[in-house]
Order: sequence, then structure tokens, then C-alpha cells
Amino acid sequence: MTSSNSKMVSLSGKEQQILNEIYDIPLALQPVTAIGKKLGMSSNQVLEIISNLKKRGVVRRIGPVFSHRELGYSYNAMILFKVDEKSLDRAAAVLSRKKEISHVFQRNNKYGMNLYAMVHAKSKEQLKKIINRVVDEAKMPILVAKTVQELKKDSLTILKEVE
Amino acid sequence: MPLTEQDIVIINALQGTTFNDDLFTNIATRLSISPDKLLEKLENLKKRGILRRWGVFLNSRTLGYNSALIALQLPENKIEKLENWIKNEKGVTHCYVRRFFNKDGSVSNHELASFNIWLTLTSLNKSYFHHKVNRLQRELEIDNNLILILPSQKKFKLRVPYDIQ
Repeated sequence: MTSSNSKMVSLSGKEQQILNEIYDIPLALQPVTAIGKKLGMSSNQVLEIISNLKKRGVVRRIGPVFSHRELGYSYNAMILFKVDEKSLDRAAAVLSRKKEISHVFQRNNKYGMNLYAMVHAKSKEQLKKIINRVVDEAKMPILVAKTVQELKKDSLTILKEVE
Repeated sequence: MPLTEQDIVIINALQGTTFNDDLFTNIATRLSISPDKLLEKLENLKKRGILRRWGVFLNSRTLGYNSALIALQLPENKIEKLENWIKNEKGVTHCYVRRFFNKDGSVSNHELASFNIWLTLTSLNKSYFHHKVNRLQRELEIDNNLILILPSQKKFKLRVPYDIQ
């Protein structure tokens, strides 16, 4: 589904264990040693494995994950653009520069709307303002999909398929 | 409970940290509070749902996972069933009900506007992905013309949607 040239990285048993432990790190002093103790490894071993996972691009970063809703960003919308192939990179670059736009993806499909951007705001008015700014600047066909209900919002975890 | 000034000070101090044994001790020093006090405040942020977790951000692409945006045309009376389905499906990270508008703010009657449900589905590989989609269609009785699978050919930007300050 994503670009066909992605190759699957294989994870060792130890790596999988560590990834499970660092999904939701217990808030306690000396968190690395605690993980090491649980898995029967030294804290240096744990840090080395994590560093390696970072180098291989499996781990993007480790840090606080906030709820953007609780931070006040409870309004969002997806803006869809119809851009011809040769102008796509430029249009995407312009969109990406705007700090209110968090995601910009190309998604080709039979309905023609091939560039997708996400915007988030703290109020209905702010969302409207952001959307208007984006829409006014853009000369190509646009659709605005406003979120009326959030049914789920979670982080990606390591998947274990059991089918 | 809305964010207080104090909350914001703490949240800002949590940015740009390195994961090691001194992680929380260092942040506590930064804030001039005791480590125990910091942990207490972090637990409080967690209880209030502001801090969802302290942990890893995975790169699904590097892991070789297959993922796509999926749009559905789903009647109101099936939304609850969908909610239960996605609750138990770890591969679904986001799911929203959306309404479409034109540039001028009028309600859109574009073909895409009939798709009211937008979700992201990630799976170990292509075969599992299709398997999951088939199961979703089967269990929610969604015909092929009511589902649209939108993988991305290119990712230009992917950031967290919030700006702490």
C-alpha cells in the first residue's frame, strides 16, 4: 500500500521486547535501569539497542506524547487539492511551509483530488481563518472536509498479526 | 480542567530531552523542583489526559508496515458498530467522521463528499492489510463501491498538530 520499495526491517526478540517496554515508559527515576532489570539486560545494553533502532530508522524519537485535544486543538479539517503532477512538488512545498498544516501527503485516486493536508486549530473561528487563508491562496480545485466527530486517535504500536 | 500557566511551564520543559537514566532528574533540575515533585506533576498530567504517554514514536515505513487512508460511506446507524470494530483493531490509529465543503463554504456534492468516515489503517504487510479490509467490509457490510483506499505515494510533511506555547 505504501511505496512498493519499502523493505521490511526484521526485529530481534530483544529489540521487540525493548520496543514494547518503551511504548509507555513508567514515570520513575532511572527509567533505563528499570527496563533493563525487567528484561535481564544492563542499562547500557538497553541504550545501545535503542540507539541502533534509531540509526536504522525504526525509532523516530522517544519523548512526551501529548493529547492535542487536551492542549486545546479540538478542531481539525482535511483539505484536498487537485494538482497536476508537474506542479505537485511545488504546491506541497508551499503547504508544508505553513505551520498550521501538520500533514501533507500525495494520494492519487480516480476522483482527482490528489494532495491531502491536515490543519488543526483551537477554535472553530481559528480553523475557519486557517482554511480561508489556505483556500484563498490556492488556485486549484479544493475540497474541505471538516471533522465533526473523532472516533479514535491513537499512536502506532508494534503490530502482531494473529490471523 | 484547562491548562494552567504552571502546566505550560512544565510541558515546555519536557521538550528536547534525551532518553537515559537521568531523564527526569534533569528535567526536575531545569524546573528547580525535586525529582519526586516532577514525577507527581507528570502523573497528574497523565491523569488529566494531557500527557498520553512518555514513549517511542515508531516509523511504520521503516518497519515495512503497509498503511493507507481509507474512506467509507457509512450510514449513521452503523457508526457505533464501527467504533467498536476500530476499538479492538490496533492497526487503526485515527478515525474521524467528516463533512465536505466547497471553497466558498457551501456544502459539497462532489463524489468524495459521500465518504463520511476517514480512517488510517496500518498492517504488517500487504496481505494482512487486505485481510483486515475484507474483514471490515464483511463485518460492517460495506460494499466495494462504498470504500475507497488511498495509500500515499509521497509524504511531504508529518508533524504533531500542536504548538505548545
